[in-house]
Amino acid sequence: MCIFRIQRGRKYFCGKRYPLNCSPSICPFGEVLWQSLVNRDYKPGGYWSMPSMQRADSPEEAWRLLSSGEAHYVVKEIVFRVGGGCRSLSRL
Amino acid sequence: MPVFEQALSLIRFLEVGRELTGSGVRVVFIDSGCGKDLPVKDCINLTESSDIDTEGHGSAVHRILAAMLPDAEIYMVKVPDPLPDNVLITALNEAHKLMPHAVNLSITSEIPSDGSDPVSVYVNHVASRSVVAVAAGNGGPRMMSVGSPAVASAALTVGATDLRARLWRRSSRGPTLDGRWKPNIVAPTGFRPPNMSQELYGTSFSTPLAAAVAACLMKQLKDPSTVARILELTATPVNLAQPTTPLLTGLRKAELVKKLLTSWPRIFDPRNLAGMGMLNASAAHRLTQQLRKAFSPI
Repeated sequence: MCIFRIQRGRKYFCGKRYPLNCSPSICPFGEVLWQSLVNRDYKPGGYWSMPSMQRADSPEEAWRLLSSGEAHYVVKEIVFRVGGGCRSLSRL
Repeated sequence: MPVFEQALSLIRFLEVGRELTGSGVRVVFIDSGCGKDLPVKDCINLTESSDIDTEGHGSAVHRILAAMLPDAEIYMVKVPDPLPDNVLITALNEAHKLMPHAVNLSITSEIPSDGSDPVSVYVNHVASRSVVAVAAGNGGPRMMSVGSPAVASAALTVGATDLRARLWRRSSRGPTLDGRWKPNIVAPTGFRPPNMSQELYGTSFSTPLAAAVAACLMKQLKDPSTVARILELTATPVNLAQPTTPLLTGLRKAELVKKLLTSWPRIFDPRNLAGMGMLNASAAHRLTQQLRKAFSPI
């Protein structure tokens, strides 16, 4: 899962390397990691314009913030879990 | 020996427990609620339900903090589960306003990040004034399973060991997406907190052990980055009995795994498994006292 891979229409662009499309050759983390990052994707509820930490509701708005220079990079929203994967064992 | 004391003995807290009672220390934990009859100075509730924890997670974290720091002021910020990042940022902001010595964040994700996501950035901001102890996550033994906010560079990321001081299999591993090693230290899990009938497994329950010790040191030194560094430097080695074979989700093709191993040597760094080692409260406390003496005005 990549927090920077943003779908706009039928294309994906890199939220960290505007205006380039997401591809192994431009991936900031290298070609090999790109493969593992894009294997699974998720649709976020929103986007963050960084470093101002403003919310954007759609990829179009995120694109606009990047093109106007208001955002240096854009990140997808992340949903966290309180203690995700923890377990408890009862002992008699 | 009660199992909780076994965990405290592993981190050498019993040796200094009389000195580190939490007097004058302020700790905030951000979680699913607080324990029913446990001391809490104030609750900031970001949900519509009551402050009391119904999921068992927050109350266990609260129980650990209260048992280790009986004299401390404990504050709680209650958050919903699942937790969107904007709510977590609000919770961190509320915690920051209280100017605590330490913040306990037993909240995880397994989404890989290089630390430039908004929550990690905000954790770094809070960590400029308080020690922020963050659970590494329970995504192991996969390499690179540590995610936001545990990847924040200024966070004290806490992994887990079992009660025999061996690395807990499911404790999340580094490196981060930009190649930094994480977690910073490890602490035991699989113990039964006081007055609980269940043994708890997860880095969530290792984190309050580190947060409690860090809060006491922070009161003495008042510099979160120095406290984090002391905890790293005084940590004791951990038995890494498991083979360090890197497992990567999504990299099902052997070719890709091979390529990654040859092109990214930092994946072999043993600090990606257990950081600098097991938390050692006694040694950290001693070193803190030495530093205070060395730098105190004559």
